Amino acid sequence: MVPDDNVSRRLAGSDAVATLDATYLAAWTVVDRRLLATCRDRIGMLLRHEPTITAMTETERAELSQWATSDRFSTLERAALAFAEQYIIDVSAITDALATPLRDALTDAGFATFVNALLVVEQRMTLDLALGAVA
Amino acid sequence: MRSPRIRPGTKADARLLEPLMEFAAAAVRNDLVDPVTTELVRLRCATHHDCHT
Repeated sequence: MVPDDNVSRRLAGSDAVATLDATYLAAWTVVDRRLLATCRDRIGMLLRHEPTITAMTETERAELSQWATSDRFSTLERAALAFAEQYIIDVSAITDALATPLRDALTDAGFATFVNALLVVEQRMTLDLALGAVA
Repeated sequence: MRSPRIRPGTKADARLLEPLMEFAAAAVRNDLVDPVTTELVRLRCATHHDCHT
């Protein structure tokens, strides 16, 4: 479902937001929803995106903060979280050590699709934060 | 250390890529944004795409 956020409220009626909504929905169709949701939640925590953070329980937030050492997360989830964190911190500094395990797990096409879906999720959150900051 | 991560010609799932390209085109068609903001967005996109041109 497309979030009811500053993007949908402030840009209502524009063809750009209509296509952005379609892109957002598509991201959840082509990527494993649980994997993408886990990365979405971590991205929300890093970007201080309150709607995402408040949708999580305190336990979920605590577990996700400790994903690197927690046995709650699978090898694939940890590879995706490591990649997503660096994607947020500095996308141009993603190393082979971060990219290769995820690509090997998802295949080349799956990896390309995951990265595009990650972009869509992060883009929506960043737009929401930016538009929320505009009076 | 960095190297090509996927084989040449590899594409993301078309069900995502097509609406994403439509969004990019819709954003570019929007000419109401001032030149400074447009340039900031262009630079931000270049960072995302790891584009150094």
